[in-house]
Amino acid sequence: MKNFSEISLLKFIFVILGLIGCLTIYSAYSDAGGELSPFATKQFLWLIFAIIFMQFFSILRFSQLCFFNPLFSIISLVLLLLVLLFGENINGMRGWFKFGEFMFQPSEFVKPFFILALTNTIGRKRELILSLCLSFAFVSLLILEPDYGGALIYLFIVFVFFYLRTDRIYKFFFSILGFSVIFIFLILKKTYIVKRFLAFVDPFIDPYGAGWHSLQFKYTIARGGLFGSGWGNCLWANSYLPLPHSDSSFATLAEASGLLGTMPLMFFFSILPYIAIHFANKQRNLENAIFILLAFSAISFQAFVHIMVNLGLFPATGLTLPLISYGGSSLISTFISIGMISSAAKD
Amino acid sequence: MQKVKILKKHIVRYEYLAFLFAIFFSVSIFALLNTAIHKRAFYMKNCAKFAWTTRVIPAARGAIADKNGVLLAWTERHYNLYLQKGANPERIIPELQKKISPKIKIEKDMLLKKNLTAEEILKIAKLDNELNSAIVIKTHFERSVVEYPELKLIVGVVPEAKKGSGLEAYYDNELRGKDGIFSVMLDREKRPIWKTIIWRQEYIPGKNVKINLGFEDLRNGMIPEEIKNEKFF
Repeated sequence: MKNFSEISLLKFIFVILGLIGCLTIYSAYSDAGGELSPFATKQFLWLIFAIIFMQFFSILRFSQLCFFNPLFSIISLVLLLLVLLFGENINGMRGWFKFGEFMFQPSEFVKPFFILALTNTIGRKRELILSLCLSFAFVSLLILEPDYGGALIYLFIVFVFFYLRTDRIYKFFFSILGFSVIFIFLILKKTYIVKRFLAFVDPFIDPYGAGWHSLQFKYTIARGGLFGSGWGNCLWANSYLPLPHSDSSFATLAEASGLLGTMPLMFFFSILPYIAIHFANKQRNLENAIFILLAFSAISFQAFVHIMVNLGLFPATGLTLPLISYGGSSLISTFISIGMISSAAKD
Repeated sequence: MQKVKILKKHIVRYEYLAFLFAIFFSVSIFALLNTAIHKRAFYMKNCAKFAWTTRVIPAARGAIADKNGVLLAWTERHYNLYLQKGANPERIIPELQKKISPKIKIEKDMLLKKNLTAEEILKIAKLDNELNSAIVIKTHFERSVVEYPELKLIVGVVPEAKKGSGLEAYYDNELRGKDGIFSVMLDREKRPIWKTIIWRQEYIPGKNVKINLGFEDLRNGMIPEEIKNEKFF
């Protein structure tokens, strides 16, 4: 019963954060003639759908979710494959299905199902090979889109999974070192990533070119100051930030609500891994515990990268802020994760 | 028992990761404090330099009329087209000649065409963003005086650097008005965001002046009281 009420409290906090997200998106486009931004209205609708999804997944037993896992995995991989063939190409990335007014991003949506698939390899005969194949399939399809930001999150999930599951931790770190060399080599081949990195080191070198985004983030946050300029009064986010409702939503929130408004959010995302430990500690089933740890890590890591990018501590990646940034697929996926966590915690 | 032991081992490992997260988030909070509080003034100054601009609305000079309201001197507003700094004339001008007027050519001080017609201004407003951002329309005032030499002498010359004459010099304070000066924030396409406007100096247009003599009286050699003592009479 106690566990149940804790989960309910967590769900409540997520819904509140979702509503703050709607306000942030409203602020991001509040200059458009004083009308309610269409993005904010849509996000509110997505939030309602997301809550329904969350409740649906939380009433299922975790063993039932595991039973359907092969089906979920096949559907997820088929969606990722289909989007490569028939998806909409936006900003050089073939990552969306378009249905009239609505867009659907499978790489965001299938994230909790990928975590479920990984945790379902635990204790199987060829756990290592199975989990490696699964990771390779998901990550390579994302890289082909190419959705490097999304791939980074999936790689982090894989990293945490192997970090937890490996017998000899030194072997794991040697493998990571090997992969890092390949990763850095691939990055150096993409000149735009190198440019972003140099701009991140010193944005004033090229303030109107590569350093543009980094400086706009700083100006926006500085304008917010301690108390913020108020909801719907984000002049800098409106005028200068790239994608103020998605890739730059933390800076938009900082301009609207200031340092005092963003601190609770940062605090919440920073304690998520400890909340994960709290719930995992109560589990008797290893799969449930690992699912909880991985799902919370994915949300926290994505938030962490987004915030670091917006603060100029990390080169631009194009990642959204969970619960706050605009996007139905991302919002529903996060709430499905919470639903599944709730299911795992109750089982 | 074995399962619980493995679970505990996983959680201990995860605790290191959670600790790393906490450190990184602390660094983020420090960076946020630095940008929003400690270095706020520096960034605000920089972004003001970058996005705020001060613009002047020149006050139109008032007209001088005789006692019946016949205009002796008046101001006409013209719109001239200029090329923006950094724009490539070789690429822009042929496009403008095709879309606006074949008379467009580059002259002194980046002037492309004097006295745009209303039709040309409408065509410019419909240009695509790239062409539009390469050009700018500037308002230009031109003072006109009736075409009679004897009246021109009475109307005189608009004082600039204190060298004026005739009625223009005598009524300069009323005729001149006051330029409006305002600061406004520009968006990323360099368009003003009007709700940010801050007036630095109020705009006061020049007043019209009516003298006590009629047009024919002036032509017949009568001189207004106020300028009777000027040297050239």
